Amino acid sequence: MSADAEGWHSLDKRTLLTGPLKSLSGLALPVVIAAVGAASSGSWVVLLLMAPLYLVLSFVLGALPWLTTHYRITPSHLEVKTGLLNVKTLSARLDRVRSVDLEASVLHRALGITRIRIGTGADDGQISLDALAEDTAEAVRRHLLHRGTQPATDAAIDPTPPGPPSATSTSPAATPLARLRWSWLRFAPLNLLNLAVIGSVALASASQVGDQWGSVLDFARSAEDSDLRLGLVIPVLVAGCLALWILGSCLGYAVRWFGLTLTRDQGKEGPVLHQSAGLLTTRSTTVEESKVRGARIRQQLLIAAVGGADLAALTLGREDNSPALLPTAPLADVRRVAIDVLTDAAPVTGPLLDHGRRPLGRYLRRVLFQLLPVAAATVALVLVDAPRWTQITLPVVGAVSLTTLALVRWRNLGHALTGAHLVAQSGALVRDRTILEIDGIVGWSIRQTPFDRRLGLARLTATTAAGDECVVIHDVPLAEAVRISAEATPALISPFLAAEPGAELSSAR
Amino acid sequence: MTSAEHPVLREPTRPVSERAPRFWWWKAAIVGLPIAVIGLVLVIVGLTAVDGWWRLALLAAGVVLIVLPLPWLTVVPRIRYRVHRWDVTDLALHVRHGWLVRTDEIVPISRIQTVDSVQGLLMQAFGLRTVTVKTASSAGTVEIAQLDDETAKAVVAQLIRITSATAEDAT
Repeated sequence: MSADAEGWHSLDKRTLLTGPLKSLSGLALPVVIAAVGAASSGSWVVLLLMAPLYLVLSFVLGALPWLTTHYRITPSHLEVKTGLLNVKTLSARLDRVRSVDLEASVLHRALGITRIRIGTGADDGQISLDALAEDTAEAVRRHLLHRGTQPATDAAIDPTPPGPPSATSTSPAATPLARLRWSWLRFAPLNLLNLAVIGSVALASASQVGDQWGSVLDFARSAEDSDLRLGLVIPVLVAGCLALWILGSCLGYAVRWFGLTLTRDQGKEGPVLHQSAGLLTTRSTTVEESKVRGARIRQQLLIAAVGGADLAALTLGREDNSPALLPTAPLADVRRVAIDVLTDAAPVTGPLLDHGRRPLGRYLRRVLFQLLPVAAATVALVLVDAPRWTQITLPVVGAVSLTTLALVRWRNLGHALTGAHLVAQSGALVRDRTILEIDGIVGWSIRQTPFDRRLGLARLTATTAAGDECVVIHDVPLAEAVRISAEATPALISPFLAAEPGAELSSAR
Repeated sequence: MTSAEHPVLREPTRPVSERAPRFWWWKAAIVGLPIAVIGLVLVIVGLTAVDGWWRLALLAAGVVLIVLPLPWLTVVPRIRYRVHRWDVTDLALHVRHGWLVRTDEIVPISRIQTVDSVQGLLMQAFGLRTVTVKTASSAGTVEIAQLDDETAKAVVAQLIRITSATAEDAT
């Protein structure tokens, strides 16, 4: 793969194999549907013609990207040319490149190629090339983000000269920040968010094989000793599902995060974070640290109970702006890495200011409303003469769990301003501690519903281009909301403050 | 939590167009009239065609539909006009809006990425124009709604002048 006269490179030739395979599988479903239609209407000629047509079409569609996609790296720009009839040229300034991701599926890896995605900061500016040779992609990554070992010429990204295909995953200056530990696997089965996703998929497919379920239940009901059999079938089913879930979740975790390394390298314009992981599909992500505007530590209730947490970075200019830096890991490790990445411990482990007692009253009053359906269900149980114990446990469990959640939600509320960061914490079932660099704030909004006004509370939102695009401080006293915004960005807010307290505020930072 | 000081955002100084309340009233009327008519039909049907439970349900639904648009036709335009205010300085844009849920939005001019203005059909009839300011955050879009046409154009010009003077990455 050498460049043409103007320096344009093609994708790797092996793409001619992966592309058609991809379109083969992509076209499979419509082809099967068409085939079934043709067979049922008895048009055998059509059916016979379809097979070669399918193959040819798949190959042509799959080969198109290789034929039509070209890229080149000039001293100042990365340019990508795509399209058969309408040739479209994307160009991104090299100094705007913020992240480079490499991703290789099993097939890609077997062939020694990889997909490369380049984040340029513009919202829709992510450039994707599928696929390049592994060492070419690695060279492009290094050229874009790292201090070039060679000047910016085509030679730097053309690996065909016999240069050693060095295992260049990290530069010599790389400092390791984290590595996968197998003991972290214990958190995988506790990830109820994943369970919810899988559970809904399982339920959907279970409804498709509903007949089998019917027969299982029939078996359970059939004999005269039906109580015994039900007592047997249900525990076995539950245990089976549980075992399946534990096995599957651990497997998923291991496959996704196998061989994880998180390092800090010296990039072209300051340090970069580099993460790579994956057993089957390998992903490697490199982000300029100046484009990391914060972090989010997330704890699901169950995972928090056994001391685990998730860590994501808040980044700019990528498709996914809150990429996970670590898998679910012990809180201590998560905090250590977060401190490393933010280079400041205060926002990660420092104390938070609470929001006073007023939010608690609100959450407890809310419980009263949430109990209405529980009460209705209880009345229904009484009306249908359900067993006595269900009539008692339902309202008790409902009231206790809802009240506990309200208390947890209140206790989790918190916020802080540390030197360079705004910290917001909230949530009950999922607790998020979001840390945002104050420089990353591009606006404020303070919102009050009529209920808020009665309680003197407000919702303070710091908008940003990083992460989920906003950081929200929920149910905070209005005066405190104004104080936070004024203290974080005094030059911006102080002109809009009512007269008296302005003097002290504008001096504080 | 500090209790010693109670900083408060002051009210922005500039109101929206004087014609805005009439615009809001007409908008509410255009949406609300069909709803009220449906309510009236329900009431008539309830009184004439059915009996018992159904009559009660239809009457209740009809009355609700007739009453529902009333606030928007009486007090809401005036409250809105009082609340909706805005300010532009060389550093920042401050907008306050919302007759029920009140929101203060402050955007540093240096972080503004695009400035648009929109004039809908009905707005044209009243000579109104809405200025929309976008930042790098999709959550950070701010509107100054229902300004006089000329005021809006002046604001757009002013914002563009200031933003182009402060060249920055804005993220």
